[in-house]
Amino acid sequence: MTEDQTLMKYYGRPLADVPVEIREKIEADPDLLSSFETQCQISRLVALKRYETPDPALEDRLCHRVGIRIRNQPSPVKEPFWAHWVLPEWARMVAVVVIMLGLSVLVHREMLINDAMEEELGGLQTSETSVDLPMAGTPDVDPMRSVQFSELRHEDAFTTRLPGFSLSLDTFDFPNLPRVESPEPTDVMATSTNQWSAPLTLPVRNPAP
Amino acid sequence: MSDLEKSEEEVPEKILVQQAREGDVKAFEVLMRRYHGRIYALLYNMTSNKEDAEDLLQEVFLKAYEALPKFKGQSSFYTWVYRIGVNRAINYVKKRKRRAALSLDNVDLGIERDPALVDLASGDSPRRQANLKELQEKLNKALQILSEKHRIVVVMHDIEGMPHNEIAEYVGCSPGTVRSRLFYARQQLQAELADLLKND
Repeated sequence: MTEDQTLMKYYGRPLADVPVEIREKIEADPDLLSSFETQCQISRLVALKRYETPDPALEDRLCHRVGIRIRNQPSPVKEPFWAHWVLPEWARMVAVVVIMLGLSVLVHREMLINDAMEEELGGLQTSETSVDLPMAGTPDVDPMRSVQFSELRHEDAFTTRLPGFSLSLDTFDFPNLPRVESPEPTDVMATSTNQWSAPLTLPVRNPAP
Repeated sequence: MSDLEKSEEEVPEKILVQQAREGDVKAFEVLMRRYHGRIYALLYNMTSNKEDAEDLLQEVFLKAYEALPKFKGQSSFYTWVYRIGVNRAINYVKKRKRRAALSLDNVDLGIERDPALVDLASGDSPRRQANLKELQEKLNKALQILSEKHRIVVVMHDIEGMPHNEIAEYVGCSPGTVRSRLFYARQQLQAELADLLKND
């Protein structure tokens, strides 16, 4: 606070009420002292207006007149009962943030649980695999299986759902089986009644007159 | 004071406000009786016209009643109504084009014992002859020359005795601005009240 601002704080007060260090400064400067005393005198003079008292009947007159005007007015719009339950705007913002945080924590927790479960399962599978894997020097035989499968032969390839299956059917000849001609392939697009093949024309509404 | 009046005085402000909000005019009357004094003083000192001040006081309380549903209770009811009074007084003075004729309240005889008046009367200048009525008129006329911004701070500080910080809150400016407005307002009053001031 500058010196002027400090002085401003005490203008209007009696010099006796001013702190000593400030009073000394004021008293050292005659112009400042004169200005300070004038301000104080004006303040005291204006304060005499406190002694002006209103008409004693003012209170009753006020209540009477305002009462009449209130009764003649439509009653103030009452707040609906639920208005008390509506939170202020800042509280609504906080609530949204808290809910968002809560949801993110829940989701994160769920993800952590899933990860843990997957890890646990993965560990179990790994341990099972390690049991199932043939050990070096032992025959590649599953003791649990009673049937031994032979290796997949090329002839058996039709029976598997491989990409070359249809090709294999055409390529390979089966002399003992009667050949059935497949019907002519139909051109789906050519026989289609799809109207989008025709030039597109959309109905245009006439503008209102 | 009757028992009824006594009990009315004791009812907490919050309860009265709640009852008034629910449409109880009697409860609102109790609030008016409780707080009208200082609000009237503010309006009267701003206008120097008792009829105008009374009309404004009615408007202030009517406005308060209408705005009761919006009153959230963050401040006291009195502070809230006083703020309405401050705004109403400032707007009234701002809009009034010419100075209204003075219409003054009676002066309480307690003034004769006030040190400021005693000091004034004991001097050896024309102020000695100034009787109370003249003094009252001079003070009111002098206040009327001030702009609404300067007048409100003089009224609130020098007459009402409010601290700078509180005035700043009501008027909506900084305490520093209040102090500087007070200083310049008193400088303007100095010319008007020159013959009442000591020339030591």
